[in-house]
Amino acid sequence: MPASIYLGEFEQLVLLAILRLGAEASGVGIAAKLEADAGRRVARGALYTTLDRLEDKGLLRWKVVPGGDNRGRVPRRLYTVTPRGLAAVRAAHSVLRRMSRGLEDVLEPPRS
Amino acid sequence: MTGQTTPAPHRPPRISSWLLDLGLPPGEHGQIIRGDLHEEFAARAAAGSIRSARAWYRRQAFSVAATYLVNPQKASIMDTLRQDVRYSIRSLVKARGFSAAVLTTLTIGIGAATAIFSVLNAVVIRPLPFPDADRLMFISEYQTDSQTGVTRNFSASWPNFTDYRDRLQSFEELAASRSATFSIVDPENPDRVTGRQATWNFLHVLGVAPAMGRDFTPDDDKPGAAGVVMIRYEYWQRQYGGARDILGKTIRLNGKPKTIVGVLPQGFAYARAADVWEPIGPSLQLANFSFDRGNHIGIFGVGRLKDGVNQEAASTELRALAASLSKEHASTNSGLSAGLEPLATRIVGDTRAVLWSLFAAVGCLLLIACVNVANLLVARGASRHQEFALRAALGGGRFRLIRQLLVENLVLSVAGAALGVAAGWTLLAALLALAPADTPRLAEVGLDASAMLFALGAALLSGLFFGLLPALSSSSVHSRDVLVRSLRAGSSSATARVRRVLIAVEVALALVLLTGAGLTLRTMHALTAINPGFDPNGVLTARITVAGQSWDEARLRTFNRDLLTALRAQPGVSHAAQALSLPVEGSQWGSVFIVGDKPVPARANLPSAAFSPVSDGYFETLKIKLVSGRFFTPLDREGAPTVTVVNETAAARLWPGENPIGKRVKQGWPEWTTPWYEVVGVAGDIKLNGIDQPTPMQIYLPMAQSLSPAPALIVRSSGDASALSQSVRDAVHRLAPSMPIYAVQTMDGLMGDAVSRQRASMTIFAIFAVIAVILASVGLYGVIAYSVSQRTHEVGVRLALGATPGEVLRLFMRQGLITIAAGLIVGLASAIALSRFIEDLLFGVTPNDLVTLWTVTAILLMVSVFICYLSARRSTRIEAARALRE
Repeated sequence: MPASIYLGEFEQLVLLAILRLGAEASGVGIAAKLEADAGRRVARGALYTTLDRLEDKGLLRWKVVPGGDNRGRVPRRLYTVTPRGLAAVRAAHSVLRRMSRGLEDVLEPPRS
Repeated sequence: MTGQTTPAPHRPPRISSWLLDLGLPPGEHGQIIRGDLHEEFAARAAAGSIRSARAWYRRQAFSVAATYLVNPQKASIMDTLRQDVRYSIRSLVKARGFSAAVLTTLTIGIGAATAIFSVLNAVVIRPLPFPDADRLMFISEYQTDSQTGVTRNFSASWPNFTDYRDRLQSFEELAASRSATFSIVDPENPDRVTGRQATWNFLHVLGVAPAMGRDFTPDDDKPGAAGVVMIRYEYWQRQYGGARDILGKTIRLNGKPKTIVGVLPQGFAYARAADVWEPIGPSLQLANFSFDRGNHIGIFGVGRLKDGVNQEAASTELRALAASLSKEHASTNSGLSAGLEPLATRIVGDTRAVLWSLFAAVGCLLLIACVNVANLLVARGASRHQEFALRAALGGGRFRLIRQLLVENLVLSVAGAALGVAAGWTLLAALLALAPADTPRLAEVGLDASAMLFALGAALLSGLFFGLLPALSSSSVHSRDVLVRSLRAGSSSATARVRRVLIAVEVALALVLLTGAGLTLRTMHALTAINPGFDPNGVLTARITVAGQSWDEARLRTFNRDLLTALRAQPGVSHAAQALSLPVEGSQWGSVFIVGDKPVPARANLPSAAFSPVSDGYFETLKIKLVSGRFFTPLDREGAPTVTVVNETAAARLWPGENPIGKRVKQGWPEWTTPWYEVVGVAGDIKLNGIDQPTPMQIYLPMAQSLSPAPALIVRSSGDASALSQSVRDAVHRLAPSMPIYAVQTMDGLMGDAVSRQRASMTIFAIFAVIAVILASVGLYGVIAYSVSQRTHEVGVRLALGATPGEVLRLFMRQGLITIAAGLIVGLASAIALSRFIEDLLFGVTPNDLVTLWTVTAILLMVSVFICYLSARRSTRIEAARALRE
């Protein structure tokens, strides 16, 4: 994988959320995951444009499935991370790991 | 429309919904995002408070819309538009019948309007093709009879014109000209050309320079100057093949050699196009009374106003000068005044009224076309109710639906404009062929940029304005309609009402056009029913012109006598004669005159008559009635006592209750030394100046006693008149080989030309009216047939409950008839109000002619009731059992 693929922080979080959701990563699901696990408010405008951008970079793809009554039968998209997307997340993660090595004392919150 | 009163539970805020429409990417992607927001909104509303859910939705909708609008990664408004256009084209292609109907209607309406607009624009609206043309003024003299109040227009006399030229301060420069015809004396190719004699500065006043060569100089314009001429560009092309060495060539005008010094610019025309222009100065001679202040020599002035002087001020100054001239030269100018009007007004003349009337008519037609299109759009909107309801249910907002519909209408409009321009092109060619030949500025007519702009404007306006109404009425759907109203959702009563109003408007407009057609038709009928006072059948006319130094009076007399003898000897010719003026074509010589046994009135009140030199045999050739006395004979020749025949109008007006035979008249002003003519006969009135004008007083003189160098030949055939044309030409050329013979035409043709303006308006009105009736009929049929198909279920119930098919038919008929009646009443009122605008086109019929109004109303009523019946009859074919099952 070329190292040129740079992921922003929010992009990393979105890809990770999709990976965590597995086969059920819808827009609503991703937003909920981010808000629950990352503990941050997600502006939907930012979320959807980020999803579009990641798609453009070839880091994720989606399929359309029928929607339920709870959304007026409007279809929904289920997102999956492409191999290229996985590689990008891995690269970003390894950079983070390398850079944090030896800093455990600083980075880990002190245990009482 | 939908009966919606309370919002559905968990309905997201409406404004935010609209905002989303604006910003969301097009197509499914946007819908999915909307679906996501909707899903989460519903979940939040169910879990917590509806208020916080709505607040959340508002925030997120704003976030999404703003992000996508500011950062249009995947979509922009342009993309959405492009997609709307693509979608529109696809859905219009799918609805082929609908699209074809709309496009045909638009093509007819826009095409006709564009063609008429092109003519109107070129002839009336566009300024004359001269720089600052609005500052050019046309000057003529006039005299008002103090007893009858009748105003007579005059050309100016030369001394009067020079006084205007030298003494008026309002004008930068003043020029004068008169129209003329010249004979090109050439044994190879004798020709007759239109010409104009003008003061040397004429082109300069207009602001025009020759395309080639030089303009006239003051020296060219002096009496006795070496003759020079300028020729028209088109004449140069036609006659000389555009030869570059044309300058300096000699042209034998009326037998005199003239040098061509200039070629006028292409397309240049002043009033009627003239092939050859010459300075007027050399033609003015003492011998022909040119410098006599009382002799109005056919010239009219044209002046360019100084900067800062308006028409009003110039007019006041001119009138004041004319008043002082009439004091200074009381013997010739008393009672004489002068006036001015914009040159464009003078040149366009009567045609202005005709063209505006036609434009109003075509406006009606375009309106009908638009109404028809609106009607089709409403119908289509109604039948697409399902589609819209579904889209609304899927979250497509009202704004988005309206935009989609508008885009569809615009696509239709633009296509309609393109087709309309193509149709306008074709129609314009037909119009130009139909237009009377003497229509001013006809050469300037063409489908130009402003016509294209007009077509596009008309199309866009009709698309937007008439498309918005159906768009609004059909987009007011709600998602619940999908479930609640099911398949019959389309028969919304509001939609039906809109369509009925539109049909009533169409019927009203059709009635207005039919009235116009009826009135012009009756005008034509009245004109052709007129007894012209002579028998035009089997008569051929032509003109010859005698020109050249070798033609003295004696030779002319011999030639005239020999020509008549030769013509009368031709096989197939029963009578032949000569005359200065031809009936219907118009008087060539109007003059004041003195009545021998009556007191001579003030100059302004002198009677004037059409003076008509005619050869012996003239009255017999045209079969004009002899009222009393005798006609001219070959004995009324030069040297014999001078005699005259007057027409009935003159006899009745000059000598009421007296026997006119033996009375005397004298042509010209009192001081002139013209001979006295003794009345020997009274002839029946004939139509002299066109067919629609009253017969003036006419004073016939024997041609031998009042020679004319350009007489008309009148030949009566014992068979087909047009077959004589070659033998008449041969007879003339045997006697004078280089004499041009021209304007060879049957008397019937001449009379047809005289009503060509009325015939053209009638034809155009009739075509428009027929199209209008067809369009209105199609609309009417559609509305009722649609209503029948929508109410099939209801009809089934009625039939099942015992109604007869006849009763059902009456039900639909009544609905249609109410619409028609409303349309007819409005139409009748509009026709009565509007028809006075075409008064100028009418003859022998008043604008509010009851016969016409009732006839066209009856015709339209019959047609529409028939159409109504045809479409309502479909209801009788409904079978109760099947209708209820559906």
